[in-house]
Amino acid sequence: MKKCFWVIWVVGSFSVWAAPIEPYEFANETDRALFQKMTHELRCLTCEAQSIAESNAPWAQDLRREVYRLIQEGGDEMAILTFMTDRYGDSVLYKPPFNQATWVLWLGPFMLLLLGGFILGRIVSRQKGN
Amino acid sequence: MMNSANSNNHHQKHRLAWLRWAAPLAVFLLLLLLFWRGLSLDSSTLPSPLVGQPMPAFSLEMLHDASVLKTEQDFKGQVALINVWATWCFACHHEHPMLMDLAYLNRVPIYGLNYRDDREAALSWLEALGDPYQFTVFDPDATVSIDWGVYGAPETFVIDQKGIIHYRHVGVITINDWETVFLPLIEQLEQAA
Repeated sequence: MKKCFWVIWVVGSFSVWAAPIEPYEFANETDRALFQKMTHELRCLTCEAQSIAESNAPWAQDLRREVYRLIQEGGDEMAILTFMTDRYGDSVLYKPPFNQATWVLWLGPFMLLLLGGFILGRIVSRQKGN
Repeated sequence: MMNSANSNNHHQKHRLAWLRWAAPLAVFLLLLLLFWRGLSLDSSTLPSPLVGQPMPAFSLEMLHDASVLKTEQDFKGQVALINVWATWCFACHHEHPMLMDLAYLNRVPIYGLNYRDDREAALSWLEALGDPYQFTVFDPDATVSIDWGVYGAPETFVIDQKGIIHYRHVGVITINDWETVFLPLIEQLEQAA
């Protein structure tokens, strides 16, 4: 019974990996790689915690099509990112830029680490002193 | 020896005693601030980078007549609403009576942008429920909607006389939204002209 449960659990979890497949054809491997890279770097806004490469949401399908179109038209990484942020803002990026609104997000963990190290250092030095 | 160590320790403890309550209190207040800010942010409504920009140019078929092409120029002239809708969109059903009321009120023209839809379905929807729009443009493959930064429906844009986008509303327009956000903005835009 328990074994059966585990089999179902393991097999069931594979479905999460199923990536949407569309018949996009590329002239060369560079374009294909760029398509893969860009669709993984763009966040699906209608489905939390998925990139547009992973999502089957209609909106993500539309955006994959737009990325494909931009690549076919000779657009590079910068052109694709600009196209997306002009329309959807920084929220569409999985890696948000460093700016006034995001510096806490970027530096926060390091500041906490420094603070923790400082406190730890104080405790250790005090115990040594004793 | 033992005594002196104890007294030293005791002294240290006493000196830092205030930290015992001050540190957790500080952490608590910090978390309170973060949660208060974090939980009051609505992450489902994103700010539109198009606010302050002119409408993206487009040319689309009219929903009611495929032979008529409409462009963004046809939305210009007065303060207007552009409502993104679709028959598959559940929230649009909820919003529709409100749009009918607004059309009846006739405060500003409302234009429809039909998003990722089927023409027949969209036409019979308007037939059955009423048509609040001056006209609707038909965008079945979302090419124009993407230029407008649409990521769901319903969405409603407020544009001024010259076609500058001043506001993007994500989700259903409630009476409260109309009275507190839309109407003041419309009045302000009309006065500025």
